[in-house]
Amino acid sequence: MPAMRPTRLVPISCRQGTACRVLALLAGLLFAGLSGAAPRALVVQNEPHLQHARALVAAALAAGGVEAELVDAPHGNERRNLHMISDGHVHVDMMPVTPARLRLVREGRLRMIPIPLDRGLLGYRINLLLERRRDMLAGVRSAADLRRFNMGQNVGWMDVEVYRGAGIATKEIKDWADGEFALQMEAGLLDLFPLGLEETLTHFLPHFRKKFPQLTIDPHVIIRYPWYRFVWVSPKADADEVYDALSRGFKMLVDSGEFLRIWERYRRVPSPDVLRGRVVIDIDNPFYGPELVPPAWRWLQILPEAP
Amino acid sequence: MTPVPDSPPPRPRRPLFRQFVRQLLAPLLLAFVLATLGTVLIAYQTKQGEEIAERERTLETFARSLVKPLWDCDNATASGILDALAHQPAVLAARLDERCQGQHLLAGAAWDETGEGAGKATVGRLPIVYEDERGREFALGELAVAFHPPSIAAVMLEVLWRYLALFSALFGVLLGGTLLIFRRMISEPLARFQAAIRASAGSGDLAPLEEEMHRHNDELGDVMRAYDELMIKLASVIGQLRDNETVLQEAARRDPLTGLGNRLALEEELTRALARARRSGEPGCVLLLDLNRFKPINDTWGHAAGDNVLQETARRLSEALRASDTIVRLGGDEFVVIMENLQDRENLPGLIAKLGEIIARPQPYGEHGLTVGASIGTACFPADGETSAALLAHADRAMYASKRGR
Repeated sequence: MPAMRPTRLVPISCRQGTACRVLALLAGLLFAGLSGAAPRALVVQNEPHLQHARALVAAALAAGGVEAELVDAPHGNERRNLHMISDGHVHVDMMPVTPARLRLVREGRLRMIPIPLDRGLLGYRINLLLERRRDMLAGVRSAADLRRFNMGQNVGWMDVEVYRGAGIATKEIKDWADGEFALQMEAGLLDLFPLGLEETLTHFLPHFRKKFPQLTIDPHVIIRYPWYRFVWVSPKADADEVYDALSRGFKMLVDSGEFLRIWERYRRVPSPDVLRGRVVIDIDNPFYGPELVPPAWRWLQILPEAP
Repeated sequence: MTPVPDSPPPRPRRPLFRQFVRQLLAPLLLAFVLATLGTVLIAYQTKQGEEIAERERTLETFARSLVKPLWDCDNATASGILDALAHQPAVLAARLDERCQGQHLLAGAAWDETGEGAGKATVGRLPIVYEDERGREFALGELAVAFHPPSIAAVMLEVLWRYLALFSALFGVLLGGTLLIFRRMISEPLARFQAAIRASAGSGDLAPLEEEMHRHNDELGDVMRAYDELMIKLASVIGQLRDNETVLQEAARRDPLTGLGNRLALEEELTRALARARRSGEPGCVLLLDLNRFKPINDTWGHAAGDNVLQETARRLSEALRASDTIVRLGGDEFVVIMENLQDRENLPGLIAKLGEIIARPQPYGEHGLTVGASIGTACFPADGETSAALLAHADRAMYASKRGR
């Protein structure tokens, strides 16, 4: 996966409401002026399916008054990401909430900004499967029905424990980012590989089909559980300013409506048609519930309904 | 009587071939042992270098294979790799200090608490670093491997047998070849020379020897030519010795004062004369002359005068007798004459008288004249005897009878 070049960001003004724009601009200028320094380099996670999240982080930093040059964090799995950020090698990442991250937050080794970057859509999981077995879930109506199938997830993902908690056999595989699990499906080791609904439709499916055109999405089932992508900040002192700026900036972005505008620049609210004909199966997240998102930001979540 | 000591036992024969082998063996063996040891030492050092390089390669290879699992914080895979590393023949133990989860993974033999490895093992360490797409490096941990200390004995044995076999074969070939060359260049020519010398000595024909000398224009040929020259010189010396022997024999049979034969010559000549007489049947006589008044001359005038008288007497006898007669000086003032082929013995008294008269003639000695006489006894053969002893005894008696009748 090619690394992105560092991007120099400038404060983004509000597009809705002159007062808000002026306020944001003044705040940015004020903090930039106070710092009086050249843009600081911040190592921030960057992956193709996280463009919206990165844009939101950049906007929040700017709104929060930090002029920064975003440097791509190295790519790694969740364990690596967690180590890198808690050890201070990465300043900011945008990953789903996991028990490990929550534990580190409790221990003061990681800082969390509980802004639902995927607007709750991450909890909507759609299964990738082989084209020739496209209708294998046609008769599935409950989590119990899913226990007949073998699911695949990346090593270390929290989803593994969610599915296992629901009694669904789940295997952890190492490589998935380019759709490599298709080979294990061909071999009969896996049947399904669920991923976030919106990111799958927007990014993963076309990306995977470049190498594995035999992959498709299941038209019969949507799995749903509380599952959020938040912003995480390094616990090191050199990230204090970043954490403060992001906390301030996201509040400003949400309040100004800029959050939604930026989000919609990269993502779409799934069409109600996506749910048409699909059974939504709710399963519990044994680690947390919807209350993890602060009340002030809960309204950002999208709750798609079947037409 | 002094006991004659026993002659020493003959020394055992030591052929050149065997001496050559014996003397060649020690230095050759020493050279090959040194060559073997030197080669083994060099091979050991090379092997040691290879082993060190191999260990470095092993360390690098496994460190490389650990990058991805460590980057993924996948300690299960890392442990598997570490176990595989610990199963390498040269590896005693392996330790991985990884940073993602802050764990210390161990495999193989117990790692001592100092972290320096186990016992006398050689410890190799390598940091494990991940380099991302942008060329940034991230330290993931450190791999430490305790290698078995290199076994000198094992390595030496491994290379020793190989080179020992090789050098033994070389040694055998070299020794065999040298012996064949020695046989061809030394032993066989020497045997041919020996045969040629024996053939030449037996037949007197020097052609085989010369042929061998001609064939060898080398040191062996030089030796044979020197031998040939020596033989020529020896032949010359031997000839000279023979001549000398003849002269000595002649001198031994001759009276140095008168130049006549002596008692030894008398014995031989008389024996031969008797043999001839027996063959021919011709009689002969032996005259024994004893000078009278010789002693007073000796006493009065000295031995020089006596010698002079004896010489003059011999000369006069020689002139008076036939050339075929034999005159010898028996010793002192006694002479013997052997006369063969005497057909008419009637003339014998006249001859005896004549001889007496000749001898009695005065002999000048300075301003003086010396006079001696002669008593002569005869014995004829075969009538008076057929052996020299018998004849001389008969003549002696006759001579004394004559001396008494004077």
